[in-house]
Amino acid sequence: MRQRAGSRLLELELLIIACLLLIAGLGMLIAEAGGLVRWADVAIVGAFVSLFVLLSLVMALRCWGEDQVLLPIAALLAGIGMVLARRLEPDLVARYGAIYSGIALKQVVWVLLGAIVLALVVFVPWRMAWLRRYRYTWLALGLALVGLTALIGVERNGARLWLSLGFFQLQPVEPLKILLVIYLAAYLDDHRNLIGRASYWLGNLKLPPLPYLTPLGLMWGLTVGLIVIQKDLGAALLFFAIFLAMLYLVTNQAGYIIAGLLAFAAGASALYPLFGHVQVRVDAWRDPWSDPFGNGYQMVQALYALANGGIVGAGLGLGDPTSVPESHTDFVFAAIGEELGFVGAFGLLLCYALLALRGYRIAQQARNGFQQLLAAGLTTAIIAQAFIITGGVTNLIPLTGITLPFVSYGGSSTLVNFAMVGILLRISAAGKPAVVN
Amino acid sequence: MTNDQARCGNWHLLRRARRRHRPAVLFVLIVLAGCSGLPLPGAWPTPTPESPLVRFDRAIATAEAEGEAQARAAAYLARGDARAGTGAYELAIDDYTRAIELDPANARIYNNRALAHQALGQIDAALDDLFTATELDPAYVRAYRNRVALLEQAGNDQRLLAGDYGRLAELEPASAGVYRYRQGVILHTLRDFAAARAAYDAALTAEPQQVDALYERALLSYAEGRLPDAIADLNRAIQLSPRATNAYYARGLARNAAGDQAGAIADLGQALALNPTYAEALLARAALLSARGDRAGAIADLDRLEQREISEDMRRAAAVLRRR
Amino acid sequence: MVTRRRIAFNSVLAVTGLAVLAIGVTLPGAMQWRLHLLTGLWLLSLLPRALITARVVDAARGIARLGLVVLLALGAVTLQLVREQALQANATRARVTTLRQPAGDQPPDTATLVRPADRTALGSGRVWPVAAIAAVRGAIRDRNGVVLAETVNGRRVYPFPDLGHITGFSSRLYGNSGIESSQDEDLSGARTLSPIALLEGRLLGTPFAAQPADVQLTIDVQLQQVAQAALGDRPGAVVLLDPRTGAILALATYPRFDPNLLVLPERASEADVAQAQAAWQELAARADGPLLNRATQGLYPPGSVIKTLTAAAALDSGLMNGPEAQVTCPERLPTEAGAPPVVNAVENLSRRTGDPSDLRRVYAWSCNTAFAQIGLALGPERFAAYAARFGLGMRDGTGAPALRDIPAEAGTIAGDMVFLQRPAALADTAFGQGQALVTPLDMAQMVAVAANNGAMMRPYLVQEVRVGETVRFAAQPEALGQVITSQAAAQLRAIMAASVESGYASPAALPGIQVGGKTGTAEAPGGPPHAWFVAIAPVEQPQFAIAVIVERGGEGSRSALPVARQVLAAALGVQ
Repeated sequence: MRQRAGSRLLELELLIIACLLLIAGLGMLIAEAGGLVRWADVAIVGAFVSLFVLLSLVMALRCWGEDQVLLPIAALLAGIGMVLARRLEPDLVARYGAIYSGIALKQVVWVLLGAIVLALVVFVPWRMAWLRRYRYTWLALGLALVGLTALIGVERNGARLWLSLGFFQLQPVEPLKILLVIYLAAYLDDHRNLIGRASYWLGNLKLPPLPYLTPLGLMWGLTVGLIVIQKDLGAALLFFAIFLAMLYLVTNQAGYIIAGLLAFAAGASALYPLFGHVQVRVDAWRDPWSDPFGNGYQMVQALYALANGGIVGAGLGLGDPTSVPESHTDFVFAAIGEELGFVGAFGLLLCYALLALRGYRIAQQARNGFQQLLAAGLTTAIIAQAFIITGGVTNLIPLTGITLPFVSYGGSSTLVNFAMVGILLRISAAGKPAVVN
Repeated sequence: MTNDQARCGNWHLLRRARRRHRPAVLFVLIVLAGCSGLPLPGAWPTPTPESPLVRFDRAIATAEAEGEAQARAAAYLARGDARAGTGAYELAIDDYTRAIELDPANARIYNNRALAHQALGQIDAALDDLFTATELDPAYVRAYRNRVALLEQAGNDQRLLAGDYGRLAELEPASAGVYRYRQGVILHTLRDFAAARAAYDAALTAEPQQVDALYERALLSYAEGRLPDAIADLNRAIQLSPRATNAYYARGLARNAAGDQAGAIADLGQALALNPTYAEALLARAALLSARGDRAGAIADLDRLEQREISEDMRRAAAVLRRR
Repeated sequence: MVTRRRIAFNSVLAVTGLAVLAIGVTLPGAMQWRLHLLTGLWLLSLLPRALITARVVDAARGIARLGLVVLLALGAVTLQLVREQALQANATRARVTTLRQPAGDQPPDTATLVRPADRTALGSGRVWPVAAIAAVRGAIRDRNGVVLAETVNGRRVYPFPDLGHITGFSSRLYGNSGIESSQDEDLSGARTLSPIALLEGRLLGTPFAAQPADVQLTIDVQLQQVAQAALGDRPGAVVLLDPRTGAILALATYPRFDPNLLVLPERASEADVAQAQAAWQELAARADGPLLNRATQGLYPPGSVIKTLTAAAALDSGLMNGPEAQVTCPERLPTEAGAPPVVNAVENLSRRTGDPSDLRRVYAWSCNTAFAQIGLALGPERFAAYAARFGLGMRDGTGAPALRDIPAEAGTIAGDMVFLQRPAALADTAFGQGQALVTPLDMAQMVAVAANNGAMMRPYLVQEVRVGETVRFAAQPEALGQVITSQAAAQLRAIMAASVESGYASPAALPGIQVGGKTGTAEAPGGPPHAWFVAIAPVEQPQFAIAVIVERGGEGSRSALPVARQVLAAALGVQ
């Protein structure tokens, strides 16, 4: 028992570090607000710490050998998200009105709920095979949700991306992520041999085999559909990236990836002159200064916020991050860049890199092909999302509306990301033991 | 297995697959072609380019559909801000007014509308709005700051300006020194000497190195006849700012009033060493030298004074001095 | 097979990639940077890819490469961060601040405050408006204390508007003139302002007080009024002064102006201003020059009164040894070829003067030819010298007026010396014609010299300037020089007395008082001659010297003499 309890010491230590960072950030905010420590703060910190430590202990007791680095990283990122939500709330309320009041508490609730979802995923006895067996069901469910949202969803900023469930607004694209990854993992694993080995000739041109083309067509339709109907460029890009990554794992042919990218580029450039919102995004990326108060407003504000941050940042609570619109959701990376500086932003990127490396290691050591693909797909989902939004915020690639995993304010995003980490933990538990730790 | 083996081994499978799935392939190719922009009947309609404020219009439409008053107000506020940012101040005011109708207790909307009024030059309307904003939220620092900036520009109600500076000093203790000093200056100019002294004292309590407050408080003491206090304050001010010419000049006059002519002439000399064309110091030193009997020095200073642009009073006084 | 050589080659390419990235990061252009980024990342990736192919087992290569892609992607974001937060931060900040910002919504610029040690000027830089306590302008009084000008309720009031030429006016519209102007520093109190008080007022806002002074003049209002009444409404002037001190007792002139019309009340309405402006326009438009003080500024040909100067010159130079000195008074006197001879004003004057005559009688009966001879006998140099000593210089030289209190003109004896060189001109000048132009004040001084034993005193109007109880200035009579010897002066006095006893000036006699005087009738082209009369009284110890001119008055004895007689009578207290 004792040995079991001590089997996850690394995870515990990392968790303690994560919690200390959270406490330090919270302490800074409290000090700036006048130094009054309220019971609510203590309760929140206590709940957070105890929940995650409890998770770790229970996992230790069960002793399935899950990966020990994933949970602390997720806890750290989620903690940063909570601290930022709390930091941004008063400025947002002051700037934009009372509809933003209470987001700090809401984010705390989401994170705690996310931890509970993680616990459910990790501890409830279900089998991976279920995911695999009912893959079409899951996919159909996801697509139906998206279709339903397109029909009766709530319109916000010109797009119908949210489904209102009374107290809670669900963004069905988020669970669709997991469902799509599961489906693709299952499909590609089933057709691994065919896809990997066969080839198809159209005249002189060597084309990928037909079974490859069907999911390609599906992906294509999904992407185009998302762009056209939902105007959700971020999700489109993300799904396509996930698909290409998983395809590459199966075929090991970079040529397919390049072909896929070229096809995407062709489609995008064909769509560009036809759709205003694509133009807007690309123009703002190319030169945000040409329309600094219109198209490029958000970008200019983000760049200014980053420039203000400099190397060490303006200090938590001492910058003006709410001048960037959506600073609590899409542009939370700009807020980090402003207040924690290059050092903080780079640290955050390192966290994601570490998450990715652990996720790919889990994939490498997965028990079977499906779980390998699943792990790789989930990891790519998280990390690609992080890359897309940080690249967009820093004006490396055109901006798309997508959240930073764990750190952005948002219920659906947080819950789904925690679920993904839960599945990764399950896969790591079932995986081959590590040769070198 | 290599590709060649695969080709050989599963050829028949692929051939069958090929034949069976040919229509599907064609369908996919057509979709691809369509997406790549080749002319097809019923092509996608070309939309008009979006104006930069369209997303705000959409936000308002969304908010109106949702129905919650505060959210609608926030949407109008956002569009008002965007319009003000592009310079369309009248339209911005319309949006703000609509937002106020929906959310009358939101101080921020009043604050922003005041800024738009100010941009149009409607100072009174701007002041009214800022008043409302501070009434709704007595701790709204930004509104006070804006009102202070407005009153400094418009310059009509100095009492109110002084009050606002006092309030800002309470709200932003970090900058209390500067705010209290400015409050003191305004009260000083209004000749409310007791209140001005209180303000200067508060400024120095908040920020002991607030040299401007020290200097002005010294002048206040001097005007009231409390020469030792004035000289003490000026000593401190000079200690903090050894290159402040007018501090030396003021201390020179104060010393003269206290009877220390030699010290006064030394201080005036110091002021002139820092700024050789300091007109008042030249006149003062000429007067003191003439009183002491040093005619030549006085004339030299008066000659230097002649070259400067000075006011009529000073010119007359210099002429009178010269003739004596 | 991945050889060592391949790995080495890829390392070189990787280093090249790093260099490309390093260069690209510093480029200002965004698209160029992205191109560099892609190229650099691709080059950089070759080495790890080679290593993966070399070291990693086949099955795990895909994941390893995927991991590499992820790392490179995050590295790209890191580089972009470096660019935005370190390299281009200043440029971005500068660019944003040049964008149009919403008005007013700025934080206070507390970041731009200068450190105390670097400050070169403290405080608000406030300069108080100099608030001299509204000092009431001083009063102007006559020698007996009668108020001639004072400020009542903020308005300048002149109780004796007929003395406008002396007091002048102090108007916010038209400035100051006369005594108001020359004594302005004392009257306004500007003289008492100390520069230190002024500077303290500017620095501290403390009000400081100017102390205006009261000015006491030498004028006697009663005599002045007598003189004005005697002059009436005939253009002319009267100058009465005390030859012992030079104090001017009366300075009358006609036409006059009322200074009350030109001053404004303290809070002047538009109507007041319009009124004053109308009064000024009217005065300025009049052809007879009411603003001119004829007593000190009017220049006239002296006529026969200049014979006093000629006689003084003759007596003092020794040309004539006394009143009994013999001189003829012919009917006509030729002076030089081509010039008309000198004639007397009255025919057959030798009947009165006798033939031969003496200086006394030719003076009393104003014999032109006699004085022409005297003038010629004196010669141009001597005559001009004596004229200069009497204050009458040449018009092309400097003739500074002796009176400093109010503006005065300097009389001249001739245009230039060349003129006097001509005998005819000299002769004319000696008896009263020629180019001489004199003011009544000059003539009063001329006889004052005789009255004062040959010494000319500087004429002055201001007796005393008093600030409160202290006398700031008290006039000291100033001698301008000994023009003629006292003996000559006594002789001159005798001649002047004789002129009144039995001469044209006899109507000037006063009961019980011996008066000495000379009439004059100055020919002036364009109308009747000017009437002159100069006198001193009492002759033994003269207290008064007077000069009267009535413009276009005709004969001196008829027009000017009665005026002088009235004034002298009043001055001496006799009827």
